[in-house]
Amino acid sequence: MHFLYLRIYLAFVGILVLFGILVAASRWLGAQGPHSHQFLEDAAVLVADLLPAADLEDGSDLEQALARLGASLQAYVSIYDSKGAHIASHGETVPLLNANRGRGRVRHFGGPGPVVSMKLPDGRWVVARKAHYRESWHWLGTIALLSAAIAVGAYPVVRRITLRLENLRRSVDALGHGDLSARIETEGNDEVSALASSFNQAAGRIERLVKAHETTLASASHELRSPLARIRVAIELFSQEQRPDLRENVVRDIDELDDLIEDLLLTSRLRYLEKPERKEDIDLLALLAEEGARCGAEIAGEPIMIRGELRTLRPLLRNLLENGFRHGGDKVKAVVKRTGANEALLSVEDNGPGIAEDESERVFEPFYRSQCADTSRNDTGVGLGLALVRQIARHYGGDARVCAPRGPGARIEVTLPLDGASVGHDTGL
Amino acid sequence: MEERILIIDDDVKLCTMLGEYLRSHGFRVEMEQTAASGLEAFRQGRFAALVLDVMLPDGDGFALCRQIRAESEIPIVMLTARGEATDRIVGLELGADDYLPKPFNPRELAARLGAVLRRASGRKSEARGALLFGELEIDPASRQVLLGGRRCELTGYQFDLLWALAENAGRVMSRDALLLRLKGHDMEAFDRSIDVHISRIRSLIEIDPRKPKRILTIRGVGYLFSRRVAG
Repeated sequence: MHFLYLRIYLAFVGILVLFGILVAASRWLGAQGPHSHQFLEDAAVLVADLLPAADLEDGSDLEQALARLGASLQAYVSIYDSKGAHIASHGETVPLLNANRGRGRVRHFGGPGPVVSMKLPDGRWVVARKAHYRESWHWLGTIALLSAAIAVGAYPVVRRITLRLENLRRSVDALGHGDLSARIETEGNDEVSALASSFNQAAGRIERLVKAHETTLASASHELRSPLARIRVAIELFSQEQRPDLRENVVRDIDELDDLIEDLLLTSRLRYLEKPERKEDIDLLALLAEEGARCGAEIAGEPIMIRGELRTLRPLLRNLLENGFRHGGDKVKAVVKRTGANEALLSVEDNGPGIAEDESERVFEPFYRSQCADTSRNDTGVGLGLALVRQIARHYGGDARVCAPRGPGARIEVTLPLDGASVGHDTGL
Repeated sequence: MEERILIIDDDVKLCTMLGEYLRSHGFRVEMEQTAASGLEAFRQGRFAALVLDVMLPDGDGFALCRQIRAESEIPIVMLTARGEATDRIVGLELGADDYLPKPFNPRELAARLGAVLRRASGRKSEARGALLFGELEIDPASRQVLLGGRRCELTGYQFDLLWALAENAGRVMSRDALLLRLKGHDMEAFDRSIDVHISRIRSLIEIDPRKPKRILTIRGVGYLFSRRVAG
């Protein structure tokens, strides 16, 4: 589960180790090569001064001088003549290796310690080696210590980055398991926090959608059960006394249920249909007159042909007209006419209490009950009402909105674009 | 004695029919359509019980229930068409005495109204509440069983048997468990006799005793009192 942070961290530590190895290797290789030191050349002149001249063949003087030199340097010192023959030594004899023959060479490895050989100006060789030499590994220890410190310091940094990713994952999981309120705290300005805020936005949208859906479902269940409750009571009354009005009520309640189920199916179907299926020529005025006669609305206007679907246009008109009665009006007047923009304009007015300004958008919510509406409910329930009207109108590329009324009641206007429609009723005659 | 009931529901047609039905069952009924007018009517008239819808045009029934409960101990039966479990809990926590989801059998509403009224009249003396299943009311205090307001004549043993089942409604009770609960009655020793009593109880409380809907036989295990009642 925690592979990412381990991988990042291991990559980081790997880079550190590689760095250390490279430093050590460069040090090793650099030390192996011949080093010519100006300093050794100068030292050779000084050493030549300290030693008796080569032509004075007094061995004791030379030995004393070597002993002084060796004691003060704490080193074994040997002296060879220019041909490489051993002359004298202080302490252990330091061999004059072939490889050492050459001025001022320092050889670090391959023996008990680095050997310094220098060629004196008179051609003799002085070879010296530290008496108690211990190879120094301090530099390697320093690099290791520094690397370890960096590695330890990097751990929380790497961990923090991946911890934020883990938090993100936990929230996504929580959302996936149905906790719609899951959100992430966004900090900083980087990619991870951008991802977090994207997640928060998505989660917020999902939560709002689901809440709206739940509300709609609860309202729908209320609207569906109300006629059922009436039917249930009517049946019980009917069994006591067989009155025809009870029967009629039941039939009307069943019609109401049927309409509502139809509307619910339509609204969910429209949600995933992209374009209206314009398959039949429909006379809007005729359709309006049919629906008006059903609920008792007054109809006027000009014949307008629209290409569309009866099963979407009829619910639009039915809900539009019924809405007028639902919200307190006892008189509903509907006019259909053509506008300049090749649109059909449906205008419905009622004589109810009207729609308050702050409600002019809320009336388009499904199952919305207007606070201003006359409190005693009429024959039918609230239904999807204007929400479905607007949904269908927008489906056709038009819209529905609340307009300033000319009279005391409310006025709702619906526009429907006529593209693809034949020009008018009269051309066919 | 006619008890005055106030129905507060915005569905005029439902109210009218409910009023008619309850009047035929000996209640006096008045109706209001909004929370505001309902509260006013409640304050003016002396009602024996309230029937209150959860969804009202000018505010929700829960708020009205809380307000009325703050003023009075009047029995309240809440109605809802939303039918969510939370509605039920909230309704009862706010002080509603009973709760009926729409659509309901009006006989059940009458039975529940009768039950809350009886409970209210003896509220101080009784500790243990009656159990209601649809229109069947089992009252352990008076040891009475009412079906749609009518008394069912059960023997003491039969009442205890029914109570043992109803108290564990929704749980299958073995014959042994039932016998253990009926230990006080020592005259019945043979466990087959439980079956005889069950069929006697069924003949009184079931619509069709041959197709029992309330007391169900679980073959080889025992009996189950069903929580789900077909209206």
